[in-house]
Amino acid sequence: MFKKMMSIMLVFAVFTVSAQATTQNGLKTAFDELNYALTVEWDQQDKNFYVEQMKSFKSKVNELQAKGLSNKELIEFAKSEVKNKKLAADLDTAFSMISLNRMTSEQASEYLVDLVKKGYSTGASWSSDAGVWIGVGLLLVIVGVAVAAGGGGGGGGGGTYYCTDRYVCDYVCQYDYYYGTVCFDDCYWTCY
Amino acid sequence: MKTLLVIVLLLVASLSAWSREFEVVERSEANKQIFKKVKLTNLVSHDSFDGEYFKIVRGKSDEAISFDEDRELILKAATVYHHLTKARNYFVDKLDSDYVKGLEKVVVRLELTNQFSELGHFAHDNLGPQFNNALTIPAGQGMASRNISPWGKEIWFRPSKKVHLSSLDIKNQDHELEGIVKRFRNQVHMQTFHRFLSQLILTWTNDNYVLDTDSALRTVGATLFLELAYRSQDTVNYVFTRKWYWLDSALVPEIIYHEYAHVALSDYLELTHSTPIIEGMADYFAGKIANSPTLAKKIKKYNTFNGKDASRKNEYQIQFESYDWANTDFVFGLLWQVGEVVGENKDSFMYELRQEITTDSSIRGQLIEGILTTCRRSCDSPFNKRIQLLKLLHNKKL
Repeated sequence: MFKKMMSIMLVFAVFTVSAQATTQNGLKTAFDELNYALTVEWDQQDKNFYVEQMKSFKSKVNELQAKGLSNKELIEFAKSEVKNKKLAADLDTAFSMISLNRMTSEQASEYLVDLVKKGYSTGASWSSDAGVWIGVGLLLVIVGVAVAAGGGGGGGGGGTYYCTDRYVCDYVCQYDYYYGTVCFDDCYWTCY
Repeated sequence: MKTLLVIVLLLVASLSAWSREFEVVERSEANKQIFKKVKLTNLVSHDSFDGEYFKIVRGKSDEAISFDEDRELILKAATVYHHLTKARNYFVDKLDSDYVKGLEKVVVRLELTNQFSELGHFAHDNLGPQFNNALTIPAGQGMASRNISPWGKEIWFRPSKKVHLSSLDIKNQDHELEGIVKRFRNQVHMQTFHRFLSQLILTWTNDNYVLDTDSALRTVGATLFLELAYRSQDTVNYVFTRKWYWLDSALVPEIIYHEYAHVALSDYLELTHSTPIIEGMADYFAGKIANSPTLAKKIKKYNTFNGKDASRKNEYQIQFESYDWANTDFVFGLLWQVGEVVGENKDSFMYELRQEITTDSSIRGQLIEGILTTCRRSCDSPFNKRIQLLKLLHNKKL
């Protein structure tokens, strides 16, 4: 009897772990596909392409959630994708801030993207590089989770995605022969 | 039999490494930029920049740059090949690095504007093209579903592009002259002006107070002169200072050393992103290979903006820990001074230090701890040297 019980428990444990691994792998695959589409394939101009990719990613995430992917796992995955460990740690605070301040999804996505856009793998460069953080799609889905937890409004996490043109600035500091330390805003148009 | 021997000899000759002379950008003994003819060694191709340890390609191509390309590109390819070989020799000969000895051939890309994509190797051409920079990328697994093959560690040199300084919204700066005049005006000049006003008020309100006319006139004159200088300094600055910025990173020897140092240290310091630690360590070894505490200076033909100087007297500020300040020279200066305390075996000390830190280490935490731990293990008189190091760290406000 004891042997039978143990066997059943083991089967359940193995099933749970493998189901978890499957959803995690599914999330990683969906995330990589989205990232590839938005950074390598997208010409950065065709907004329909962006919206379609986001919709497809969201529906894959919804499927995984139906199979048991939890919000906590989603957030942990996002953190694991941020290469800069200090920024990854800051994400926890950021999610709490979104919930506490009841940000709208637009405010939340702006806040989060600004926080982590430098956290992705950009290589090690000689001078500061305004590297674009390309895990935006995943973030927007997570924003939905965080916003829902905080009771904020908006459609960012609810399944409607707009590629809104935004003028963003990175604060960059460099050394200069004449001026010493020079900091400036490196500004550009982007879309999320 | 003889024919076979000749064929074998020809085959061996064609497969073995050989050398060829090219003009490159070099440094003179006084650290000035010069052009010099040097022999490029360990080439495995007779007609392109394909060597035993490096392959120099243009943009996204996989083919090595041919010796028949235009003069400007040949100069860049030869300069990069020459200085990379020098940097590799430093790690192999001086530091006896097994990791560097075992590295596979490094692909070096010139004139590439694409951003790095961890999945696709190259991001789309339209995704924020990059100029005036150089970077080292980590190896990637590729993406079989999209026919993206795996790649090894690579060094990318961006093309140079002239940028007008007015297009950068420079703010919050105390330029050397401007800062001095501004501070002087705000502190000294305003004080003397207030003193003059109070003297004037005393004269009006107190019958016994006599105004020193000479002193008052001197104060007014100096005040007016200073105010005039302050008001006109923007115009003066505009006339006399540089207005354009560009950086041709493939023609600056210390930037080439810096990028190779990233590769050589990558067994412990991940190449995924820039941090003060990883950039400071690469700067230190670039300085050692160049035998100079200054990097990318006195080479204004190719670099009008950045330059790093280990001898700059900087005190620690909390913002030096952040990504935005990763490429300033605080850590470079700190390591250089630590090396001076360590003494003769400083190069192997610094190389060993990489084992105690990671790309994401903090300056105030793990770097200091790593320096002290490495010293305990490798300094010639650990107790004395650790006390000297602690004094240095204290002076740097760490």
